[in-house]
Amino acid sequence: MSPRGTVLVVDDEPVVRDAAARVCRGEGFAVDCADSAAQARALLARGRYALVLCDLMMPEEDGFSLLAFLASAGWPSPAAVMTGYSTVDAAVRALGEGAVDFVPKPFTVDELGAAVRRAAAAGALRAAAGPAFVPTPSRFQRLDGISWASLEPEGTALVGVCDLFVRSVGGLAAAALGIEGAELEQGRPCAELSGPDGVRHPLLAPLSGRVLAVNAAAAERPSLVEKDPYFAGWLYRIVPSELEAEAARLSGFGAQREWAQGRTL
Amino acid sequence: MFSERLGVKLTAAAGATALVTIGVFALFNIRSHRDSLEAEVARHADQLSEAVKAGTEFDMLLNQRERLQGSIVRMGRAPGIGRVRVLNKAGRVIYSSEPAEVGTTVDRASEACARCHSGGPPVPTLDASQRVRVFRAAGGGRTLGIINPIYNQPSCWTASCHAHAQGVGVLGVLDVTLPLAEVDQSIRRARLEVAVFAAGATLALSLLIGLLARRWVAAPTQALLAGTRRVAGGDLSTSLEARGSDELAQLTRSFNDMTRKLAEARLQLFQSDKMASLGRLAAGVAHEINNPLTGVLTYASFLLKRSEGDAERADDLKVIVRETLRCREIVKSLLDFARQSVPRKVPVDVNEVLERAVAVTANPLVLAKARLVCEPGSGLPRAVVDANQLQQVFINLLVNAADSLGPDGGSVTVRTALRRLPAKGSAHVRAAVCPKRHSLLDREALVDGRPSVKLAARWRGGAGTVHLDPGFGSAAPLRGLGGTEELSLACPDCAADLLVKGKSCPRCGGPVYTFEAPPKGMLEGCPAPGCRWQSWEALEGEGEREFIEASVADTGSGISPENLPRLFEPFFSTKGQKGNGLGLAVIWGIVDNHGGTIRVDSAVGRGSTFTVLLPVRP
Repeated sequence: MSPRGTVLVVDDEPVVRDAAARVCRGEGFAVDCADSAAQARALLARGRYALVLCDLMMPEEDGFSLLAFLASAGWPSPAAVMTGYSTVDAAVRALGEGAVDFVPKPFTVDELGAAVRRAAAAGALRAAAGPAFVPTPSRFQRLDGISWASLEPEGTALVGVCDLFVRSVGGLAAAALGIEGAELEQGRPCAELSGPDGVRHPLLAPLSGRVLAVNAAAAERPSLVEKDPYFAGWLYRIVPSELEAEAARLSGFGAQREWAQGRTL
Repeated sequence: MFSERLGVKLTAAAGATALVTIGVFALFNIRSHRDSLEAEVARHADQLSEAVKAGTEFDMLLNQRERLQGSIVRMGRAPGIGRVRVLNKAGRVIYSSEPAEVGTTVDRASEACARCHSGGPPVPTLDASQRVRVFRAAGGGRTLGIINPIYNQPSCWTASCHAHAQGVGVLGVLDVTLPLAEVDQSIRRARLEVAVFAAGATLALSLLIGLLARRWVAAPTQALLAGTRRVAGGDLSTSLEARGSDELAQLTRSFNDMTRKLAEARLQLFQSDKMASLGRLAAGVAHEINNPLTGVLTYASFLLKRSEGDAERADDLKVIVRETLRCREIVKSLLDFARQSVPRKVPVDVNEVLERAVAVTANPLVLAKARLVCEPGSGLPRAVVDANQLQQVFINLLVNAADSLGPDGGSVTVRTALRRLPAKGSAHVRAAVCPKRHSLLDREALVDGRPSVKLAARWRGGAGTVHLDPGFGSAAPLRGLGGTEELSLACPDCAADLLVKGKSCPRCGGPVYTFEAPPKGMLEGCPAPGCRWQSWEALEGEGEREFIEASVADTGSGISPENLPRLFEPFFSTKGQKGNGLGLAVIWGIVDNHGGTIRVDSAVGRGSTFTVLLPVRP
């Protein structure tokens, strides 16, 4: 077995399967392939995987049903989804169903490589750690374990990165943030965070809205984000544009603790 | 069919009324004319009979019968006199202007005697009017007769002839008749005159009414009818000319209003329908294309990784990777357009984007024999835009310009420049919330394609939802407002009051509404129609805003005025099979998402200029 573990690639398109398999091998993983959710279930029954990388849109049984199967089995292996139907809804929904990450197709070698490594790390962290989350006030809402948003009394919201994400990329070496006035869109990249290995990871925004202010301190000292991701390490202050509809797709941090306990213990 | 027409009906009704009115008037007029003429003749006859009586009295007293008969015959010959005769009590004709009659006895029932002897004892005295009779003479003409009783006097029974006894009251009667031929002729003439007058007046009145009915009623009604048929046939661009302020002009205006609203509603329905099918199409295309693109992208980037040291090959592969990434963005834009999503904006040199667009469209421009003139403005600030989307805008505009050129080609001129414009007239309300943070934007009621601001209004005698043009300082009046007296404006969701207490419009003194337009603070304005006062402190405080103006001008066929308003509708195309009608709709969506505006100036045969204004900072 490869030192980094095995990735199960599930896609009905041979070219995508092969391309994803090559990327995973390039990242040092062993690879199993399945061309349908049924075949993937058969493989999952035989052993654990470092990551299940599955397509959302497949002809007979889609990726969501595979996520549901994994959830019912208590997440023996973490899953990340990739899809050509890259609507934000699909991405956010997949994250809500328990996927640790989301990669839109088509992807470059570097993009998928970074995502696979990050997702495998996040899956391992979740499986190992238990309730290792920073206690936060109830107004904090998160997009899975990736990013968080916190509503302020004035109607604006702070946006930042979750500790799980930081730890899954192995700490922060640099943070490339957007500019004031830019528009964020929920489930779309809003910043590029680089790990110590120099690999750049897109951070998906938890809410849509216009950026009012950028935390210059966070951009200058990524270590601040790493140490205090929920308070001093915030990234943007935004005016949410679709708050009501989008907030429903986020979950509270209490739920994350339950999740961590329920799935791992 | 002819008699069914409103104008004809009105004219016929007016003509009939005139005819009846004038006819009745004429009837009474002729009758009174005849009566007065007959009265005149009767007076004349009375005088005449008195004169005859006076003239013959002496001869009677002297009992000169021969002379009397001679005088009476002479009198009967005078012009205008019919017959003069004297009858005794028994009805025997004693003297007559027609000598053959003398000696005959007149029946008591005859017209001359009937007045006094109609049943019962004879009436000794009669009024002048009762002594007169009009009858039809044996000759056929109408005749007026007057009888004058000859009463017994002392001289009669004291006369030497002793003809009459003292105890008798009435001795006999003098009967004078006058033919009424002249009177009848005069009446006939008057009747003819009146008839001619009545016909003429009726005709003139009918013509006048007909003309006015045609002008005021029939013509506008016909126009409305034709307009309604056109609308029923599906042509919702129908607009009728409304002249004046009468009910029909008001009806025409409300017809125009209704048609416009109908057109807007249909357009919105149509648009949302199109957007829904486009969304499904785009999603399908995205899924189908993204899988093969994944193969191209990953294998190209693999090759690129392995080509270190081979600079030439690496450069070629970089082109493949870059262009595949562009494909990815285009597919994403397609999805974004279908979802009308927000662009990903970063500071960009617009001239650089334009240069890339020109490079991409070099081929179609050469094929169209276009002479490209590029005049990029110098010293432009970097604008916060989505470079890929902006490039798409330029590419679409350049391809459209090339397509519009005729077979001999022409020139396409591209310019960019920096413009500084005040907020008024260039900014739009993109978000609006009440004090309890309910959104006031109404995506169902669009103004120039942008969601309007919806307010719940109450005024004296009415209430309803009103819509505010989102353009700051443009056509500010609220649509649907029925009055400003006792006005209240509130949030349609929570009824929070949106009128500012104690503040009045600095221009007209009316009430002032306010709402928050995030993220640019409060907006205030006057709801009075006609007063267009608005204030948006945060924006006006920023002073003039910077815009990048980019224009693409061609010397092509131009756009006909009737096509101009539909230009930015999805699936509207004048290119037939060549275009899908999405290009300009995509452009409009992109420009609007950037907070910009797009304008078209076009003259058929001389070419079109598309001008895009993009704010430097969103």
